[in-house]
Amino acid sequence: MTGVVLGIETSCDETAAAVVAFDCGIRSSVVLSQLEDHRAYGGVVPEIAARAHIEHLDGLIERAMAEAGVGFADLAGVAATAGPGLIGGVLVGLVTGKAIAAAAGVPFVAVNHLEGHALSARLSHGVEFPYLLLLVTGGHCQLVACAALGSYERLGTTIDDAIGEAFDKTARLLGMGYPGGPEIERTAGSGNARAFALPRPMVGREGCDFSFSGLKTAIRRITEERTLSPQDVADLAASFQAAVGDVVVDRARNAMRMFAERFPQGRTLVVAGGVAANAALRKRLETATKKSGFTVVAPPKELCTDNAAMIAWAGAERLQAGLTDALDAPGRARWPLMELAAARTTA
Amino acid sequence: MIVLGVETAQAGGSVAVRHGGSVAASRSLADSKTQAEQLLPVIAAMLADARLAYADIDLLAVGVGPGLFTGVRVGIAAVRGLRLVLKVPAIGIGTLHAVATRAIGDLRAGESIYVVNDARNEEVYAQRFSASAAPGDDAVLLPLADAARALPADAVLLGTAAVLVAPFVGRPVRVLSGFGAADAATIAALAETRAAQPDFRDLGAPRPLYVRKPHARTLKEAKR
Repeated sequence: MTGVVLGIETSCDETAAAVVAFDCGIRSSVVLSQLEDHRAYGGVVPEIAARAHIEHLDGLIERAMAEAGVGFADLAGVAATAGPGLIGGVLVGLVTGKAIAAAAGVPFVAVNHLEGHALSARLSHGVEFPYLLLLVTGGHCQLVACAALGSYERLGTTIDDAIGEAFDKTARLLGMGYPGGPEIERTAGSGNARAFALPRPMVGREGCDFSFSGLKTAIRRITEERTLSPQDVADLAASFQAAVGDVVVDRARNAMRMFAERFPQGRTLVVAGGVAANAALRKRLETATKKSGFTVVAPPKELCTDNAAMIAWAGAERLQAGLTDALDAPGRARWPLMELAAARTTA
Repeated sequence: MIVLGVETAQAGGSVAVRHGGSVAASRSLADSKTQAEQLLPVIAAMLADARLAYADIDLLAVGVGPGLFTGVRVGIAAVRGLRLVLKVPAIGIGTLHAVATRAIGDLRAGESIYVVNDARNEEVYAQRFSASAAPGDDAVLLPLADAARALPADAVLLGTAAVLVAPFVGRPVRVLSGFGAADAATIAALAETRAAQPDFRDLGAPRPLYVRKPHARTLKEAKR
């Protein structure tokens, strides 16, 4: 196909627009973080997020189009995140995207945000189906067998907190700022990971589900029992990160076994989502996968945190497969990957 | 001139297109489905009714609230998206202004207009207008009793909360019923009039008029 795809992302606290070509070229990708708008609240406030999205989105789209050097007549389609996410924000991007598609007379694709993450390694590394996906974000923690475009099978998921949630809650207990992930990683750098004996929930169990709430409870108990010195905080951050690493590696090992039985030809573990930006976690996974004969592929950081290039790319893949959406496509707060429409033709 | 009007700041909503100084077509949104699902297909169907295309549009108009936060954003998102592609001016019209404008023909000599729309939680969005529906002040959020106290002596009371405010007024007041909803045709007409004024300037993308702040407490406020 010729032309480019405009992508729009507004499902959480990043307003983003991007232009991507069908040959994997990211022509432009702009992201406006609302971090400062939400910091005082210690987390994302949905109404504040939605207000910021409507304020900035059209300006970001103009910028993305200008940086890519394209006009609306050059578009092959428009792709916007339709969920899952904070519905007020989702609707801003969804309706804006529909309006642009309608006025430009091009197809519209309602993209599942999680599929955006799932396909991001195909954009950055050209990874071929089938592959195993570890999706680690603020709201999700899943191991997914990606068989083909739109055909996903969840092998395991968290039974309580998402991994990013665990990082944020632990950071808050340790008196760190929001968001917690980058703070914990930085602080852990000067800590001793063996200083505190923390639990490893689910490790050694069958299957590949996750649990993180026990870990958070253990940390809360420690913070209540004693006054923490700065070194204690660093040690606790390092111990927490090591425990999370152990849990993720154990679960991923089981998932690789399950995946290899189903898809003997697949030998790639893609790590995607905001938490995949954590370098310590990536390293742990790289070591663990070598023994299993898998290769770890992690998209660059700017494609792991929320962005619109991955949404534009998911749109490009769907357009090529003839999977477009009508302009009455709904926004969805909840939208599991497993409920997606699959491509009619698979390689 | 061809003007597309969009109003989704209140439940339901409507779209209208004006052509050559009068309404060429209009449609209502159903209450039963979400505005984000209906809006673009309904606009497309209405333009087809009027045998017009998006490229024919000269001016965009949208109701900016105050009203339902999500609805306000749905209408504005659509118009801001259309504006990017069509490269025509887009004008935001206050929801209460559109309500007041509809009532002009029902006024008696010497009467002004006071619009109160339901903002839930015993509160209303209130605004004063002249007999020609020129805004007398900005829209504000008021408790029912305060809104009643702010009612000008010569004003008729209208809006979705008129019957809620009237008992607090403490004197006989004329209530005009049936003027609760802003409609896209009025919004398109108001925008067309504004764009025709010699001093009209394109002020850029329309912005929401929320009036009410988001409901959230900072960490500091939560500790208090």
